[in-house]
Order: sequence, then C-alpha cells, then structure tokens
Amino acid sequence: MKAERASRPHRPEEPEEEAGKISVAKEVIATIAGLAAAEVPGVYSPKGDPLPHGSAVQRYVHTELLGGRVRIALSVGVSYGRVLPEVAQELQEKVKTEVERLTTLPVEAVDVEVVGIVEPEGRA
Amino acid sequence: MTLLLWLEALALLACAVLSGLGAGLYPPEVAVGERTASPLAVRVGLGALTAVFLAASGIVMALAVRRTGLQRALALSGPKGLILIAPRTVTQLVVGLLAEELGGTPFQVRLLSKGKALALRVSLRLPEEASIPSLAERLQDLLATEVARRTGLEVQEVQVLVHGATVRG
Repeated sequence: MKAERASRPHRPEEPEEEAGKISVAKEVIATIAGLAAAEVPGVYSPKGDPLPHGSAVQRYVHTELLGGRVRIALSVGVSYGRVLPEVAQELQEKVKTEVERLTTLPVEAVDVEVVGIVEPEGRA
Repeated sequence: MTLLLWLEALALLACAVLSGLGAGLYPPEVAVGERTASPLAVRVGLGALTAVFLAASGIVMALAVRRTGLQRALALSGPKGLILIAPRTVTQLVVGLLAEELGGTPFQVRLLSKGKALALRVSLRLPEEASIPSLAERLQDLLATEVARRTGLEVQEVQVLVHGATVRG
C-alpha cells in the first residue's frame, strides 16, 4: 500500500487510521508549512514581503511524498543582521513540528534555501 | 539554473560538432539552382561557425563549473535537512557590510569557490587619506569574520583589489 502511494506522488497522502483513511493533499502540506514559516521571526518571501497567508504561500514551498514520508523545500528571504543558519534551523524545526502535528505524517527533511537578504524598513 | 547552464553548454557543443562535421564532409561542388556554391567558402563559413559555437560552449561551461563549485561551497547540511544559501544572498550580505564600513566608496564584489570553502574578491577605489594595508586588513577581518558568523560558511580567502584612489578636488 505504501509502495503504491510512493509511486503516485501526486495523490493525496493517506495516513492510516483505525476507523478509515484520512487523505492530506500536497497543497495542504505546503500551506501548513508556509504558515508555520511565516511565524518564524526574520523570515520573508524571496521578494522581501511577509510570507503570504493561505494558498498563495505554496509558490515558495515544494513538497514531495516518498514512501509515506514528506520532504519539504522552502525558498525564503531573511532579514539583514540575522544569522542565516540559526534562522534556517528554527524554520526547519517549526515547519517539521507543525506539519507532523497537524497531518501526523512523518517529515523526512525540510530543506531551506535562503535566496535573498531583506533590508529592514528604515535602513538605507 | 546550473542544470540549465550545463544543458546549454552541451547544446552549444553539439552544434559545434555538427557544424564541424558539416565543414569536413562538405562535397567538393554543390549546385544551388543554376549557380554553384564555392566549397571553400562554405567550408570556411562552417569552420568559423564551429569556432564560435566552441567558444560559446567553453564560456558557458566555465560559468557552469563556477556555479557548481559555488553551490557546493554555499550548502550546509543539518539534522533536519539542507540549508542552501544562494550566491545572491552572500553578495547582498557582503554589500551591506561594506556599505556600513566604507560609506559612499564604490566597490564591486565577486564570489569564488575554493574547494568546499568560499572566497571573496572585493575591488574598490581607495578612499581619501586611507592606507592600503590597513584598509585591506580591516576589510579582510570584517568580511572573513562576519560572513562566516552570519552564514555558517567557511570563508577561506578575502582578496581586496584596490584599482584606484579618490583624490580631493
């Protein structure tokens, strides 16, 4: 069953429940990951705006389902002055925790790409 | 992006091979309507085209090699996944640090890879009344320390190139 799911990665993921099956679509996982990312201080969209809420955040989040495990890749901007690995690790932790808590799917990895530095307002 | 560069380099190389083969295998005389094309002129043309394709392929391949090296130097692996720092991010960080340090002095920044580590090349005009050794040392210390601290990347070398001086009046 799991192998079958792994060979069809575009299908909604289905954590097994005793009373039936719960399907979680990849888009939902991406939205949860994006919302979790938006809560991390210093994290912005690659364009420098705050990360959008709702499905619009999906453009910065890529999810993969492999053998019942989730792999997430995020592209973000980080504000100037922040230590990038610290922000990225906090982001990984937050996204992994939230996705696992809300979907019960195991998260294998959260890859973070910092694609730009965001200048804080008021800095010349 | 890097994959696209490699594909582009390969496509240009394939074009070079094809035009080279065309030049080599071109028949001694070909009739085009009532006229005959000079085989020598066609061969020279195809040979020139081959050279252009080869040069373009070499340039794109050099870019791809440089970018692949940089990507390796800008990746950190952690327990919860990879942390990738885009070259633009490091450049922006260096520009921010130098702008704070140098004020209005114009400068240029280039990222290079040294194995799995990062090297920075900064070229600038010497600000008024500054001495080259002390300025270079100050910038090398600042960039090596701050870039490593803020990115977690290994900065192996900071090259400072002074290409002119600002003179009052």
